[in-house]
Amino acid sequence: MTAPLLIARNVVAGYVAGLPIVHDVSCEVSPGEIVTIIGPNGAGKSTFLKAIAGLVRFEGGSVTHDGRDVSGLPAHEMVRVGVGFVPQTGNIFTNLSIHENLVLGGHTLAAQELKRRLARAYDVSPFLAGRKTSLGRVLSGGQRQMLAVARALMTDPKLIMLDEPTAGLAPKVVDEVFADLRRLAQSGVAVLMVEQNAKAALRISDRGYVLAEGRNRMQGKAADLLTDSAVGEAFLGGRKHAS
Amino acid sequence: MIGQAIADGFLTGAIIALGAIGVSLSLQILRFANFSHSELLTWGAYIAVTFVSFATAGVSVGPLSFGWQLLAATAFAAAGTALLAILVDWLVFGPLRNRGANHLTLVFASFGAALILRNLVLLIWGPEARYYTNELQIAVEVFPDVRMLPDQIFVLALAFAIVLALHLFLRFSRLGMAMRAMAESPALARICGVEIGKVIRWTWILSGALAAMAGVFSGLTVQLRPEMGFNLLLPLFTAAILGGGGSLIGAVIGGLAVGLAENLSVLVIPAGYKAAVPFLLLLAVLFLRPQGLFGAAERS
Repeated sequence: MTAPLLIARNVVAGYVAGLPIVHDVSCEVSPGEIVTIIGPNGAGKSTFLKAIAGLVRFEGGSVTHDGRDVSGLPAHEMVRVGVGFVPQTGNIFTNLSIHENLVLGGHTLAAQELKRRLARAYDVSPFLAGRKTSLGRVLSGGQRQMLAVARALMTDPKLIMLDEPTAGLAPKVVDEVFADLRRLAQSGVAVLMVEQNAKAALRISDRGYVLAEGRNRMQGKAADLLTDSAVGEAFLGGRKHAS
Repeated sequence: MIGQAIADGFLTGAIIALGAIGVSLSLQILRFANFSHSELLTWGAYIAVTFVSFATAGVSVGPLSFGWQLLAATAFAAAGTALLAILVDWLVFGPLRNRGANHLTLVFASFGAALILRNLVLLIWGPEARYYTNELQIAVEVFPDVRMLPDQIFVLALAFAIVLALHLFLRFSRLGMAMRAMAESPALARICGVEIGKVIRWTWILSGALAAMAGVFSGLTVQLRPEMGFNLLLPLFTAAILGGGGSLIGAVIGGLAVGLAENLSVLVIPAGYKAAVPFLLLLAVLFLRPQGLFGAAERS
Protein backbone atom coordinates (compact mmCIF):
# COMPACT_ATOMS: atom_id res chain seq x y z
CA MET A 1 0.00 0.00 0.00
CA THR A 2 1.21 3.49 -0.78
CA ALA A 3 2.11 5.90 2.00
CA PRO A 4 -0.84 7.93 3.30
CA LEU A 5 -1.37 11.31 1.61
CA LEU A 6 -3.31 12.81 4.48
CA ILE A 7 -2.47 12.04 8.07
CA ALA A 8 -4.61 13.65 10.77
CA ARG A 9 -3.54 12.99 14.36
CA ASN A 10 -5.58 13.74 17.49
CA VAL A 11 -7.35 16.71 15.94
CA VAL A 12 -9.19 19.05 18.32
CA ALA A 13 -11.44 21.65 16.67
CA GLY A 14 -14.68 23.60 16.98
CA TYR A 15 -16.46 26.87 16.38
CA VAL A 16 -15.90 28.60 19.72
CA ALA A 17 -12.57 28.84 21.51
CA GLY A 18 -12.37 26.35 24.36
CA LEU A 19 -15.54 24.48 23.29
CA PRO A 20 -14.32 21.89 20.81
CA ILE A 21 -16.76 19.66 18.95
CA VAL A 22 -14.04 17.40 17.61
CA HIS A 23 -12.13 16.19 20.69
CA ASP A 24 -9.64 13.69 19.42
CA VAL A 25 -9.95 12.36 15.90
CA SER A 26 -7.27 10.69 13.81
CA CYS A 27 -7.52 9.49 10.25
CA GLU A 28 -5.43 8.62 7.22
CA VAL A 29 -6.18 8.64 3.51
CA SER A 30 -3.93 7.25 0.78
CA PRO A 31 -3.86 8.22 -2.90
CA GLY A 32 -6.53 6.41 -4.89
CA GLU A 33 -8.43 5.41 -1.79
CA ILE A 34 -12.00 6.25 -0.76
CA VAL A 35 -12.40 6.71 2.96
CA THR A 36 -15.81 7.33 4.52
CA ILE A 37 -16.49 8.73 7.95
CA ILE A 38 -19.80 7.68 9.48
CA GLY A 39 -21.39 8.25 12.84
CA PRO A 40 -24.48 9.63 14.53
CA ASN A 41 -25.62 13.24 14.24
CA GLY A 42 -23.44 15.56 16.26
CA ALA A 43 -20.47 13.21 16.20
CA GLY A 44 -18.32 15.98 14.73
CA LYS A 45 -17.91 14.45 11.28
CA SER A 46 -18.52 17.65 9.32
CA THR A 47 -16.55 19.73 11.79
CA PHE A 48 -13.60 17.35 11.35
CA LEU A 49 -13.62 17.91 7.57
CA LYS A 50 -13.96 21.66 8.10
CA ALA A 51 -11.04 21.57 10.52
CA ILE A 52 -8.81 20.02 7.86
CA ALA A 53 -10.16 22.51 5.27
CA GLY A 54 -9.27 25.44 7.53
CA LEU A 55 -12.83 26.65 8.03
CA VAL A 56 -13.15 26.23 11.81
CA ARG A 57 -10.90 26.83 14.83
CA PHE A 58 -8.08 24.31 14.88
CA GLU A 59 -7.21 23.84 18.54
CA GLY A 60 -4.91 20.87 18.69
CA GLY A 61 -3.40 17.85 17.01
CA SER A 62 -1.75 17.84 13.63
CA VAL A 63 -2.54 17.39 9.96
CA THR A 64 0.04 16.58 7.34
CA HIS A 65 -0.73 16.47 3.64
CA ASP A 66 1.78 15.09 1.16
CA GLY A 67 4.44 15.27 3.86
CA ARG A 68 3.80 18.89 4.69
CA ASP A 69 2.42 20.13 8.00
CA VAL A 70 -0.84 21.87 7.18
CA SER A 71 -2.34 21.99 10.69
CA GLY A 72 -4.66 24.96 11.05
CA LEU A 73 -3.77 26.42 7.65
CA PRO A 74 -6.47 28.91 6.54
CA ALA A 75 -8.96 27.71 3.92
CA HIS A 76 -7.61 29.82 1.04
CA GLU A 77 -4.16 28.22 1.55
CA MET A 78 -5.47 24.66 1.65
CA VAL A 79 -6.58 24.76 -1.98
CA ARG A 80 -3.06 25.83 -2.98
CA VAL A 81 -1.65 22.85 -1.07
CA GLY A 82 -3.82 20.47 -3.10
CA VAL A 83 -6.87 19.86 -0.96
CA GLY A 84 -10.31 20.33 -2.51
CA PHE A 85 -13.43 20.60 -0.38
CA VAL A 86 -17.09 20.23 -1.33
CA PRO A 87 -19.23 21.40 1.59
CA GLN A 88 -22.71 20.01 2.21
CA THR A 89 -24.78 23.17 2.08
CA GLY A 90 -23.90 26.07 -0.16
CA ASN A 91 -21.64 23.92 -2.30
CA ILE A 92 -21.99 26.22 -5.34
CA PHE A 93 -22.51 29.96 -5.89
CA THR A 94 -26.20 30.16 -6.79
CA ASN A 95 -26.04 33.79 -7.95
CA LEU A 96 -23.17 33.06 -10.31
CA SER A 97 -23.29 31.26 -13.63
CA ILE A 98 -21.92 27.77 -14.14
CA HIS A 99 -18.95 29.27 -15.96
CA GLU A 100 -18.27 31.73 -13.15
CA ASN A 101 -18.47 28.92 -10.60
CA LEU A 102 -15.77 27.04 -12.49
CA VAL A 103 -13.63 30.16 -12.88
CA LEU A 104 -13.78 30.62 -9.10
CA GLY A 105 -12.86 26.98 -8.67
CA GLY A 106 -9.69 27.89 -10.55
CA HIS A 107 -9.21 31.17 -8.68
CA THR A 108 -5.66 30.24 -7.71
CA LEU A 109 -4.59 29.38 -11.28
CA ALA A 110 -2.79 31.61 -13.76
CA ALA A 111 -4.94 32.81 -16.68
CA GLN A 112 -3.49 30.38 -19.24
CA GLU A 113 -3.81 27.37 -16.97
CA LEU A 114 -7.35 28.41 -16.03
CA LYS A 115 -8.32 28.42 -19.69
CA ARG A 116 -6.96 24.90 -20.19
CA ARG A 117 -8.72 23.52 -17.12
CA LEU A 118 -12.01 25.16 -18.11
CA ALA A 119 -11.81 23.48 -21.50
CA ARG A 120 -11.09 20.18 -19.78
CA ALA A 121 -14.03 20.56 -17.39
CA TYR A 122 -16.37 21.21 -20.32
CA ASP A 123 -14.92 18.23 -22.17
CA VAL A 124 -15.64 15.96 -19.24
CA SER A 125 -19.15 17.28 -18.74
CA PRO A 126 -21.18 18.15 -21.84
CA PHE A 127 -23.99 19.12 -19.46
CA LEU A 128 -21.95 21.95 -17.94
CA ALA A 129 -20.64 22.93 -21.37
CA GLY A 130 -24.18 23.29 -22.65
CA ARG A 131 -25.30 25.58 -19.83
CA LYS A 132 -22.32 27.84 -19.18
CA THR A 133 -24.42 30.94 -18.63
CA SER A 134 -27.14 29.35 -16.50
CA LEU A 135 -27.21 30.62 -12.93
CA GLY A 136 -26.36 28.10 -10.23
CA ARG A 137 -29.73 28.57 -8.59
CA VAL A 138 -31.65 26.94 -11.45
CA LEU A 139 -29.77 23.64 -11.09
CA SER A 140 -31.25 20.58 -9.39
CA GLY A 141 -29.58 18.98 -6.38
CA GLY A 142 -27.73 16.41 -8.47
CA GLN A 143 -26.61 19.00 -11.00
CA ARG A 144 -25.35 21.23 -8.17
CA GLN A 145 -23.32 18.34 -6.78
CA MET A 146 -21.87 17.70 -10.22
CA LEU A 147 -20.91 21.37 -10.58
CA ALA A 148 -19.51 21.44 -7.03
CA VAL A 149 -17.23 18.50 -7.74
CA ALA A 150 -16.19 19.94 -11.11
CA ARG A 151 -15.43 23.22 -9.33
CA ALA A 152 -13.29 21.48 -6.71
CA LEU A 153 -11.41 19.53 -9.41
CA MET A 154 -10.38 22.70 -11.28
CA THR A 155 -7.17 22.87 -9.25
CA ASP A 156 -6.32 19.15 -9.68
CA PRO A 157 -6.37 18.41 -5.93
CA LYS A 158 -4.58 15.34 -4.64
CA LEU A 159 -7.23 14.99 -1.95
CA ILE A 160 -10.89 15.82 -2.29
CA MET A 161 -13.11 16.00 0.78
CA LEU A 162 -16.89 15.83 0.46
CA ASP A 163 -19.42 16.57 3.17
CA GLU A 164 -22.51 14.40 2.60
CA PRO A 165 -22.30 14.46 -1.20
CA THR A 166 -25.58 12.55 -1.61
CA ALA A 167 -27.75 14.38 0.95
CA GLY A 168 -31.18 15.06 -0.51
CA LEU A 169 -30.49 13.35 -3.85
CA ALA A 170 -32.72 10.83 -5.60
CA PRO A 171 -31.49 7.19 -5.33
CA LYS A 172 -30.54 7.04 -9.01
CA VAL A 173 -28.51 10.25 -8.69
CA VAL A 174 -26.85 8.90 -5.54
CA ASP A 175 -25.55 5.95 -7.58
CA GLU A 176 -24.21 8.33 -10.23
CA VAL A 177 -22.39 10.47 -7.66
CA PHE A 178 -20.82 7.40 -6.05
CA ALA A 179 -19.79 6.03 -9.45
CA ASP A 180 -18.14 9.37 -10.23
CA LEU A 181 -16.24 9.24 -6.93
CA ARG A 182 -15.08 5.71 -7.67
CA ARG A 183 -13.73 6.85 -11.06
CA LEU A 184 -12.03 9.79 -9.37
CA ALA A 185 -10.28 7.49 -6.90
CA GLN A 186 -9.21 5.20 -9.75
CA SER A 187 -7.45 8.17 -11.31
CA GLY A 188 -5.33 8.42 -8.16
CA VAL A 189 -7.14 11.09 -6.19
CA ALA A 190 -7.63 10.48 -2.48
CA VAL A 191 -11.29 10.79 -1.48
CA LEU A 192 -12.42 11.50 2.07
CA MET A 193 -16.13 11.85 2.67
CA VAL A 194 -18.68 12.11 5.42
CA GLU A 195 -21.95 10.31 4.74
CA GLN A 196 -25.31 9.77 6.41
CA ASN A 197 -26.07 7.29 3.66
CA ALA A 198 -23.62 4.98 5.42
CA LYS A 199 -24.33 1.61 3.81
CA ALA A 200 -24.17 2.82 0.23
CA ALA A 201 -21.10 4.92 0.97
CA LEU A 202 -19.22 2.07 2.64
CA ARG A 203 -20.00 -0.21 -0.32
CA ILE A 204 -17.93 1.98 -2.63
CA SER A 205 -15.29 2.80 -0.01
CA ASP A 206 -12.00 1.12 0.78
CA ARG A 207 -11.97 1.98 4.44
CA GLY A 208 -14.18 3.66 6.99
CA TYR A 209 -14.07 5.41 10.34
CA VAL A 210 -16.86 5.55 12.88
CA LEU A 211 -16.95 8.70 14.99
CA ALA A 212 -19.05 9.35 18.07
CA GLU A 213 -19.01 12.34 20.38
CA GLY A 214 -16.05 13.88 18.62
CA ARG A 215 -13.79 10.82 19.00
CA ASN A 216 -12.75 7.80 16.93
CA ARG A 217 -14.97 4.88 17.86
CA MET A 218 -14.03 2.27 15.27
CA GLN A 219 -12.16 1.95 12.03
CA GLY A 220 -11.41 -0.68 9.49
CA LYS A 221 -11.95 -1.96 5.99
CA ALA A 222 -15.27 -0.80 4.62
CA ALA A 223 -16.36 -4.39 3.98
CA ASP A 224 -15.65 -5.33 7.61
CA LEU A 225 -17.57 -2.33 8.96
CA LEU A 226 -20.53 -3.26 6.79
CA THR A 227 -20.74 -6.71 8.37
CA ASP A 228 -19.85 -5.65 11.91
CA SER A 229 -22.91 -6.20 14.05
CA ALA A 230 -22.18 -3.34 16.50
CA VAL A 231 -21.76 -0.85 13.64
CA GLY A 232 -24.81 -2.25 11.90
CA GLU A 233 -27.06 -1.82 14.85
CA ALA A 234 -25.92 1.67 15.72
CA PHE A 235 -25.28 3.29 12.35
CA LEU A 236 -26.40 1.28 9.40
CA GLY A 237 -30.13 1.49 9.71
CA GLY A 238 -30.82 -0.63 12.79
CA ARG A 239 -32.02 2.57 14.39
CA LYS A 240 -32.23 6.05 12.96
CA HIS A 241 -30.21 7.75 15.68
CA ALA A 242 -27.74 6.26 18.05
CA SER A 243 -28.21 7.44 21.60
CA MET B 1 -41.47 72.24 -15.61
CA ILE B 2 -41.72 68.48 -15.37
CA GLY B 3 -38.89 68.06 -17.88
CA GLN B 4 -36.66 70.27 -15.74
CA ALA B 5 -37.56 68.28 -12.61
CA ILE B 6 -36.66 65.04 -14.40
CA ALA B 7 -33.31 66.46 -15.54
CA ASP B 8 -32.54 67.67 -12.01
CA GLY B 9 -33.70 64.32 -10.68
CA PHE B 10 -31.29 62.44 -12.91
CA LEU B 11 -28.42 64.65 -11.73
CA THR B 12 -29.22 64.24 -8.02
CA GLY B 13 -29.93 60.58 -8.68
CA ALA B 14 -26.58 59.97 -10.38
CA ILE B 15 -24.73 61.45 -7.41
CA ILE B 16 -26.82 59.43 -4.92
CA ALA B 17 -26.24 56.30 -7.02
CA LEU B 18 -22.44 56.66 -6.82
CA GLY B 19 -22.69 56.87 -3.04
CA ALA B 20 -25.30 54.13 -2.78
CA ILE B 21 -23.06 51.65 -4.63
CA GLY B 22 -20.62 51.88 -1.73
CA VAL B 23 -23.40 51.34 0.83
CA SER B 24 -24.59 48.40 -1.21
CA LEU B 25 -21.08 46.89 -1.48
CA SER B 26 -20.62 47.00 2.29
CA LEU B 27 -24.10 45.58 2.89
CA GLN B 28 -23.32 42.69 0.58
CA ILE B 29 -19.66 41.94 1.05
CA LEU B 30 -18.90 43.28 4.53
CA ARG B 31 -22.40 42.44 5.73
CA PHE B 32 -23.23 45.53 7.71
CA ALA B 33 -24.95 48.88 7.18
CA ASN B 34 -22.11 51.37 7.22
CA PHE B 35 -23.52 54.65 8.49
CA SER B 36 -20.13 56.32 8.19
CA HIS B 37 -20.16 55.85 4.42
CA SER B 38 -21.75 59.26 3.83
CA GLU B 39 -18.83 60.92 5.64
CA LEU B 40 -16.53 59.51 2.98
CA LEU B 41 -18.41 61.70 0.49
CA THR B 42 -17.64 64.76 2.62
CA TRP B 43 -14.00 63.77 2.96
CA GLY B 44 -13.66 63.20 -0.76
CA ALA B 45 -15.14 66.61 -1.51
CA TYR B 46 -12.84 68.37 0.98
CA ILE B 47 -9.69 66.51 -0.08
CA ALA B 48 -10.43 67.69 -3.62
CA VAL B 49 -11.02 71.30 -2.54
CA THR B 50 -7.67 71.25 -0.74
CA PHE B 51 -5.96 69.93 -3.84
CA VAL B 52 -7.63 72.61 -5.97
CA SER B 53 -6.55 75.37 -3.59
CA PHE B 54 -2.92 74.30 -4.03
CA ALA B 55 -3.17 73.86 -7.76
CA THR B 56 -4.71 77.34 -8.05
CA ALA B 57 -6.63 78.81 -10.92
CA GLY B 58 -6.65 76.10 -13.50
CA VAL B 59 -7.87 77.32 -16.82
CA SER B 60 -11.42 76.19 -17.36
CA VAL B 61 -11.99 73.78 -20.20
CA GLY B 62 -14.60 74.69 -22.79
CA PRO B 63 -17.93 75.64 -21.24
CA LEU B 64 -17.09 74.00 -17.90
CA SER B 65 -16.48 76.10 -14.80
CA PHE B 66 -13.36 74.15 -13.92
CA GLY B 67 -10.16 72.98 -15.50
CA TRP B 68 -8.15 69.80 -15.60
CA GLN B 69 -6.97 70.51 -12.10
CA LEU B 70 -10.37 69.57 -10.70
CA LEU B 71 -10.24 66.26 -12.54
CA ALA B 72 -6.79 65.65 -11.09
CA ALA B 73 -8.19 66.71 -7.71
CA THR B 74 -11.02 64.20 -8.08
CA ALA B 75 -8.57 61.40 -8.82
CA PHE B 76 -6.45 62.50 -5.86
CA ALA B 77 -9.55 62.63 -3.63
CA ALA B 78 -10.63 59.18 -4.79
CA ALA B 79 -7.25 57.74 -3.83
CA GLY B 80 -7.17 59.65 -0.54
CA THR B 81 -10.70 58.62 0.43
CA ALA B 82 -9.99 54.99 -0.47
CA LEU B 83 -6.99 55.12 1.86
CA LEU B 84 -9.11 56.75 4.56
CA ALA B 85 -11.72 53.98 4.21
CA ILE B 86 -9.00 51.33 4.59
CA LEU B 87 -7.60 53.19 7.60
CA VAL B 88 -11.02 53.29 9.30
CA ASP B 89 -11.45 49.57 8.59
CA TRP B 90 -8.02 48.87 10.03
CA LEU B 91 -8.72 50.91 13.18
CA VAL B 92 -12.41 50.17 13.78
CA PHE B 93 -14.17 47.51 11.73
CA GLY B 94 -11.27 45.07 11.22
CA PRO B 95 -10.56 44.52 14.94
CA LEU B 96 -14.30 44.06 15.58
CA ARG B 97 -14.60 41.55 12.72
CA ASN B 98 -11.63 39.57 14.05
CA ARG B 99 -13.36 39.33 17.40
CA GLY B 100 -16.41 37.89 15.68
CA ALA B 101 -18.57 40.92 16.48
CA ASN B 102 -22.10 40.68 15.11
CA HIS B 103 -23.34 43.05 12.45
CA LEU B 104 -25.22 45.26 14.91
CA THR B 105 -21.98 46.02 16.75
CA LEU B 106 -20.44 47.03 13.44
CA VAL B 107 -23.43 49.29 12.71
CA PHE B 108 -23.02 51.09 16.04
CA ALA B 109 -19.29 51.37 15.50
CA SER B 110 -20.04 52.97 12.13
CA PHE B 111 -22.15 55.63 13.90
CA GLY B 112 -19.15 56.40 16.07
CA ALA B 113 -16.80 56.49 13.10
CA ALA B 114 -19.25 58.82 11.32
CA LEU B 115 -19.26 61.30 14.23
CA ILE B 116 -15.48 61.36 14.41
CA LEU B 117 -15.04 61.73 10.65
CA ARG B 118 -17.63 64.52 10.40
CA ASN B 119 -16.15 66.52 13.26
CA LEU B 120 -12.65 66.07 11.91
CA VAL B 121 -13.82 67.80 8.72
CA LEU B 122 -15.17 70.64 10.84
CA LEU B 123 -11.90 70.81 12.77
CA ILE B 124 -9.65 70.79 9.71
CA TRP B 125 -11.63 72.82 7.17
CA GLY B 126 -14.00 74.90 9.34
CA PRO B 127 -17.78 75.35 9.17
CA GLU B 128 -18.15 77.79 6.29
CA ALA B 129 -19.32 76.77 2.84
CA ARG B 130 -16.69 76.31 0.14
CA TYR B 131 -16.73 76.19 -3.62
CA TYR B 132 -14.44 74.61 -6.18
CA THR B 133 -14.67 77.62 -8.44
CA ASN B 134 -16.23 81.05 -8.48
CA GLU B 135 -16.88 81.01 -12.20
CA LEU B 136 -20.41 81.77 -13.23
CA GLN B 137 -22.01 79.45 -15.68
CA ILE B 138 -24.84 79.91 -18.08
CA ALA B 139 -27.29 77.05 -18.33
CA VAL B 140 -27.82 75.63 -21.79
CA GLU B 141 -31.06 74.33 -23.13
CA VAL B 142 -30.56 70.59 -23.64
CA PHE B 143 -34.20 69.83 -24.45
CA PRO B 144 -37.04 72.28 -24.94
CA ASP B 145 -37.60 73.94 -21.53
CA VAL B 146 -34.91 71.83 -19.87
CA ARG B 147 -31.81 73.79 -18.86
CA MET B 148 -28.67 72.34 -17.38
CA LEU B 149 -25.28 73.77 -16.53
CA PRO B 150 -22.40 72.37 -18.57
CA ASP B 151 -20.92 71.12 -15.28
CA GLN B 152 -24.06 69.16 -14.57
CA ILE B 153 -24.06 67.51 -17.98
CA PHE B 154 -20.41 66.61 -17.45
CA VAL B 155 -21.15 65.11 -14.03
CA LEU B 156 -24.03 63.08 -15.41
CA ALA B 157 -21.94 61.68 -18.26
CA LEU B 158 -18.99 60.88 -16.02
CA ALA B 159 -21.20 59.19 -13.42
CA PHE B 160 -22.68 57.02 -16.16
CA ALA B 161 -19.21 56.08 -17.41
CA ILE B 162 -18.04 55.19 -13.90
CA VAL B 163 -21.05 52.95 -13.29
CA LEU B 164 -20.50 51.21 -16.62
CA ALA B 165 -16.81 50.63 -15.84
CA LEU B 166 -17.65 49.25 -12.42
CA HIS B 167 -20.28 46.96 -13.89
CA LEU B 168 -17.77 45.54 -16.37
CA PHE B 169 -15.21 45.13 -13.59
CA LEU B 170 -17.59 43.20 -11.32
CA ARG B 171 -18.94 41.15 -14.19
CA PHE B 172 -15.80 40.07 -15.97
CA SER B 173 -12.63 40.55 -13.89
CA ARG B 174 -11.52 37.73 -11.64
CA LEU B 175 -11.36 40.09 -8.66
CA GLY B 176 -14.88 41.30 -9.40
CA MET B 177 -16.04 37.70 -9.58
CA ALA B 178 -14.35 36.97 -6.26
CA MET B 179 -16.19 39.95 -4.75
CA ARG B 180 -19.54 38.64 -5.98
CA ALA B 181 -18.62 35.17 -4.74
CA MET B 182 -17.80 36.50 -1.29
CA ALA B 183 -21.07 38.41 -1.23
CA GLU B 184 -22.90 35.13 -1.58
CA SER B 185 -20.77 32.80 0.53
CA PRO B 186 -17.53 33.83 2.26
CA ALA B 187 -16.88 30.20 3.27
CA LEU B 188 -17.15 28.83 -0.26
CA ALA B 189 -15.08 31.75 -1.58
CA ARG B 190 -12.32 30.85 0.89
CA ILE B 191 -12.51 27.19 -0.15
CA CYS B 192 -11.90 28.37 -3.72
CA GLY B 193 -8.74 30.14 -2.56
CA VAL B 194 -10.11 33.68 -2.39
CA GLU B 195 -8.25 35.75 0.18
CA ILE B 196 -10.95 37.44 2.21
CA GLY B 197 -8.65 40.23 3.41
CA LYS B 198 -7.84 41.22 -0.16
CA VAL B 199 -11.52 41.32 -1.16
CA ILE B 200 -12.33 43.44 1.89
CA ARG B 201 -9.54 45.89 1.02
CA TRP B 202 -10.79 46.22 -2.55
CA THR B 203 -14.34 46.71 -1.35
CA TRP B 204 -13.19 49.70 0.70
CA ILE B 205 -11.07 51.04 -2.15
CA LEU B 206 -14.02 50.94 -4.55
CA SER B 207 -16.60 52.34 -2.16
CA GLY B 208 -14.19 55.02 -0.92
CA ALA B 209 -13.27 56.12 -4.44
CA LEU B 210 -16.91 56.20 -5.57
CA ALA B 211 -17.91 58.12 -2.43
CA ALA B 212 -15.20 60.70 -3.15
CA MET B 213 -16.48 61.18 -6.70
CA ALA B 214 -20.04 61.54 -5.44
CA GLY B 215 -18.79 64.09 -2.93
CA VAL B 216 -16.91 66.13 -5.53
CA PHE B 217 -19.86 66.03 -7.93
CA SER B 218 -22.22 67.08 -5.18
CA GLY B 219 -19.86 69.89 -4.16
CA LEU B 220 -19.54 70.98 -7.76
CA THR B 221 -23.26 71.22 -8.38
CA VAL B 222 -24.15 72.70 -4.96
CA GLN B 223 -21.46 73.63 -2.44
CA LEU B 224 -19.20 72.05 0.14
CA ARG B 225 -20.34 71.92 3.75
CA PRO B 226 -19.13 69.66 6.58
CA GLU B 227 -22.64 68.18 6.85
CA MET B 228 -23.06 67.58 3.10
CA GLY B 229 -22.47 63.85 3.44
CA PHE B 230 -24.67 63.52 6.49
CA ASN B 231 -27.51 65.18 4.57
CA LEU B 232 -27.16 62.50 1.89
CA LEU B 233 -27.18 59.62 4.37
CA LEU B 234 -30.88 58.88 4.13
CA PRO B 235 -31.05 59.13 0.32
CA LEU B 236 -28.02 56.80 0.07
CA PHE B 237 -29.58 54.13 2.25
CA THR B 238 -32.96 54.50 0.60
CA ALA B 239 -31.33 53.98 -2.78
CA ALA B 240 -29.33 50.96 -1.62
CA ILE B 241 -32.34 49.34 0.05
CA LEU B 242 -34.68 50.22 -2.79
CA GLY B 243 -32.25 48.57 -5.19
CA GLY B 244 -32.19 45.39 -3.16
CA GLY B 245 -29.25 45.97 -0.81
CA GLY B 246 -27.10 44.00 -3.15
CA SER B 247 -26.86 44.46 -6.84
CA LEU B 248 -24.91 47.27 -8.44
CA ILE B 249 -27.60 47.96 -11.00
CA GLY B 250 -30.14 47.96 -8.18
CA ALA B 251 -28.24 50.66 -6.31
CA VAL B 252 -27.99 52.77 -9.48
CA ILE B 253 -31.70 52.48 -10.28
CA GLY B 254 -32.46 53.08 -6.60
CA GLY B 255 -30.34 56.24 -6.68
CA LEU B 256 -32.08 57.53 -9.79
CA ALA B 257 -35.49 56.72 -8.28
CA VAL B 258 -34.66 58.68 -5.13
CA GLY B 259 -33.30 61.63 -7.12
CA LEU B 260 -36.34 61.72 -9.38
CA ALA B 261 -38.78 61.34 -6.48
CA GLU B 262 -37.13 64.23 -4.61
CA ASN B 263 -37.21 66.55 -7.57
CA LEU B 264 -40.63 65.59 -8.89
CA SER B 265 -42.14 65.97 -5.43
CA VAL B 266 -41.58 69.74 -5.48
CA LEU B 267 -44.16 69.93 -8.25
CA VAL B 268 -46.83 68.90 -5.75
CA ILE B 269 -45.48 69.68 -2.28
CA PRO B 270 -43.58 72.71 -0.90
CA ALA B 271 -39.83 72.51 -1.63
CA GLY B 272 -39.09 72.58 2.11
CA TYR B 273 -40.44 69.05 2.43
CA LYS B 274 -38.21 67.67 -0.30
CA ALA B 275 -35.81 66.17 2.23
CA ALA B 276 -38.61 64.02 3.66
CA VAL B 277 -39.23 62.26 0.35
CA PRO B 278 -36.42 59.67 0.64
CA PHE B 279 -37.65 58.91 4.13
CA LEU B 280 -41.19 58.24 2.91
CA LEU B 281 -39.82 56.21 0.03
CA LEU B 282 -37.73 54.15 2.47
CA LEU B 283 -40.80 53.46 4.62
CA ALA B 284 -42.80 52.48 1.56
CA VAL B 285 -40.10 50.07 0.39
CA LEU B 286 -39.73 48.49 3.81
CA PHE B 287 -43.48 47.99 4.03
CA LEU B 288 -44.18 46.84 0.52
CA ARG B 289 -41.06 45.18 -0.78
CA PRO B 290 -38.40 44.80 1.92
CA GLN B 291 -36.13 42.79 -0.36
CA GLY B 292 -35.90 45.80 -2.69
CA LEU B 293 -36.83 46.12 -6.32
CA PHE B 294 -34.16 43.72 -7.54
CA GLY B 295 -33.44 41.66 -4.44
CA ALA B 296 -34.36 38.01 -4.38
CA ALA B 297 -36.91 37.07 -1.74
CA GLU B 298 -35.56 35.69 1.53
CA ARG B 299 -32.86 33.15 0.94
CA SER B 300 -32.87 30.06 3.08
